[in-house]
Amino acid sequence: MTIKTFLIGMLASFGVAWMCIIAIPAAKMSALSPVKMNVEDEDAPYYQRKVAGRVMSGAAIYGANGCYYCHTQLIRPTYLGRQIWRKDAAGIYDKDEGIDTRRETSHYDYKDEDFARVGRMRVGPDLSNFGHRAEMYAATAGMSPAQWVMEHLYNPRNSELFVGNEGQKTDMSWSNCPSQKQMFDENNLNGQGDSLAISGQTTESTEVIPNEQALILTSYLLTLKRDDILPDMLANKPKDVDVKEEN
Amino acid sequence: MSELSHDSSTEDTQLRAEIDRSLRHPVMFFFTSGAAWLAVSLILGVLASIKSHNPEFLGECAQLQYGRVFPAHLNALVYGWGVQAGFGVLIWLMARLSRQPSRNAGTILVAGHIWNLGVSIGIIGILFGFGTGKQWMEFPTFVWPLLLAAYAVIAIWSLVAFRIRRGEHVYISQWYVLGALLWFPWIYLTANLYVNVFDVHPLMATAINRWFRQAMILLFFAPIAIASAYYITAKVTARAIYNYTYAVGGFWALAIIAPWAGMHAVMGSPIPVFLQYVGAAAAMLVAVPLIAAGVNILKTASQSGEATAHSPSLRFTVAGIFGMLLLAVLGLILAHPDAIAYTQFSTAVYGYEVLALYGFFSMCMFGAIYFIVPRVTRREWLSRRLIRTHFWFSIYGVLLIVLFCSILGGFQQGAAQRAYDESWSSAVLSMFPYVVATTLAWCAILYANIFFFIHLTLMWIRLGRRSSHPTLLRHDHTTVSPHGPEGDIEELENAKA
Repeated sequence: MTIKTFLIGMLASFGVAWMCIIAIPAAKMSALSPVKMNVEDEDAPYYQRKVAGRVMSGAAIYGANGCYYCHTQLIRPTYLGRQIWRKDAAGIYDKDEGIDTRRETSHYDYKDEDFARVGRMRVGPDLSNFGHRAEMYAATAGMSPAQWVMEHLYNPRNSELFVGNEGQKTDMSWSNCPSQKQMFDENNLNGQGDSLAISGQTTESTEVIPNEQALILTSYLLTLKRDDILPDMLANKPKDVDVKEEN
Repeated sequence: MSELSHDSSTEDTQLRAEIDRSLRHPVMFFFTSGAAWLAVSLILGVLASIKSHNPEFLGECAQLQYGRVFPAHLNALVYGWGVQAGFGVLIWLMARLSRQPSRNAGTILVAGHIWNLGVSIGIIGILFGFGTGKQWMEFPTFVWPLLLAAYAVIAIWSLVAFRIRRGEHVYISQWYVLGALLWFPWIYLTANLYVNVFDVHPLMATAINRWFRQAMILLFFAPIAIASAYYITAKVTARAIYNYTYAVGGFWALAIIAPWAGMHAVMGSPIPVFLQYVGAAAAMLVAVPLIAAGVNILKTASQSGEATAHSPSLRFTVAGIFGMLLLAVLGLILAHPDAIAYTQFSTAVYGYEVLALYGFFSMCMFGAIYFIVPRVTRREWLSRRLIRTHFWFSIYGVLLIVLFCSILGGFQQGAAQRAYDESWSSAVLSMFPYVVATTLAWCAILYANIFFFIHLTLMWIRLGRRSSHPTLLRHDHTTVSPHGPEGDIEELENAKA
């Protein structure tokens, strides 16, 4: 083997793979054409994903604090995982009301981020539809969704946060989730106090309130609702549903 | 055993001594700072592991929370220890095999310091909340050009040494080292440009990030470890490689298969499906070159079982090669789509990384370090007991991690996740025994490497034994040096042919 054959071999073996799995797919994925909601209907609108929240900077805080190590953001097809059937993981499913928004993750779902935080391990639950869950838990616990998320970030082992319909509390002491206390500051108590002050931490003269980081991260987490209606050709839903079609 | 040893001429001996002397400072710098980073990484690893079952350990300080300590641990292991140990071995191997003393030791040393500076900034950045959140690329974004520049300055002299090599024959280790030298910048630049610079689809950025992780293992760490294993085994046993044609074939099989692997880590996400399955297929097929190299090296070593028992270098190398075979089998299991359904988002991924980085790569590097350091410092290792402790605790630790993280823990966790009717707490609680076992395993590895670091530091400051008798793992006196006869590796090849 001469150095020349070696270099040609290296270039060919690595170059072909590089073109086929890096360069070409990356270029193609960057230039996806818009999709109509209904391919058969000429006048159908194009699908557009709408997200309102501080997604970019929130995702950066999400990454910097390593949330992706334990939380995923991916609802896989059922041949790979069953999280689509897990309660409230892949969307809202209410048989009586006839609501079923569950679906697999689509490539539009990460549209506003620079890096899809797919995640590494699933120590904690999947966060693809955390926004919905936060709203539900907040409603039963009697808080605003943002307040609920901050209470949870401050102390993930807070058993007051998961309240059932009859007022029963869920024990959370088993949780391994690290608390994000660096996102909260102790402040002097002024007047009635801050509406987002963490409950149980207010003393006569001080209160614990979220700082900018917690606000941004919460805003991002509350945007995590990846169950909007997709164009037919992209919507992968569980098949065994007997709820009436919503369209 | 002695019939194959050759009397090499005085001139050759002088040349080898000159090469060793010329590279003493950079090689020892890479090894010692690498070992220091390994100790840092292991301390962080133990901490992260404790935090994974006891999140309030050491208080809830932001810099020491799991989500920052864990990436710091992994990046210190990869860039602080892994790449630096690789540098040390590859510059020495390339100089020795090309029979060219280095004339740029000072430049390499400066670049080595820059590399360490980059890694330090990166680790501190992660701990203080500036991590990027992209696996294996968590260093703050501005660090990667610095690391790449330092790499270029270190690597270029090995390419030069190869270019002006003496002698026509190119040994298999040189091809592997040359491969790693050329693959690393290509992989590193591709990953960082696509993930951090170009505006690509966020999912594609994630897929490329996962590809980067696999490519670093298979196209940088693996070739260096295999190169070192081929060299050490042939040298210590004084035998030519069992089958040289297979060795070259194994290299090309690795070159052709490995670049395709990696994107199976995001299987099930909405990226083109062929990327996911070609990644899985390649990650399984890569067992072929790994097994080819492994069997070839073990066959060579088994021609002299005695040497394996005596020589610390060969013992670590053989253990590393067993690690490689285990890695090939584990890759075969974990990359199968049916297994991915269970283990994709589980500790199995971590077990695979630890086996690749520690059980395979690091063990081969330890073997090389036990071989190279006495030559460049002209001192012998102080204590066979320290070496033995290092060996056995490493083996226990890494086997425990592979067993509990990858095989048992990974599938247990995956099964618990699939039970979608059960509450999430049952999935978390079922992992408790495995994460505790992982903590214990890291403690064993940490224990082993603290002694290794102390031993290496003593050698670095030239407190090693002044003796012509190498430190062996057993007492028996044999006539032939367990480091093998002095001589050039081609002579072994020629003797066989």
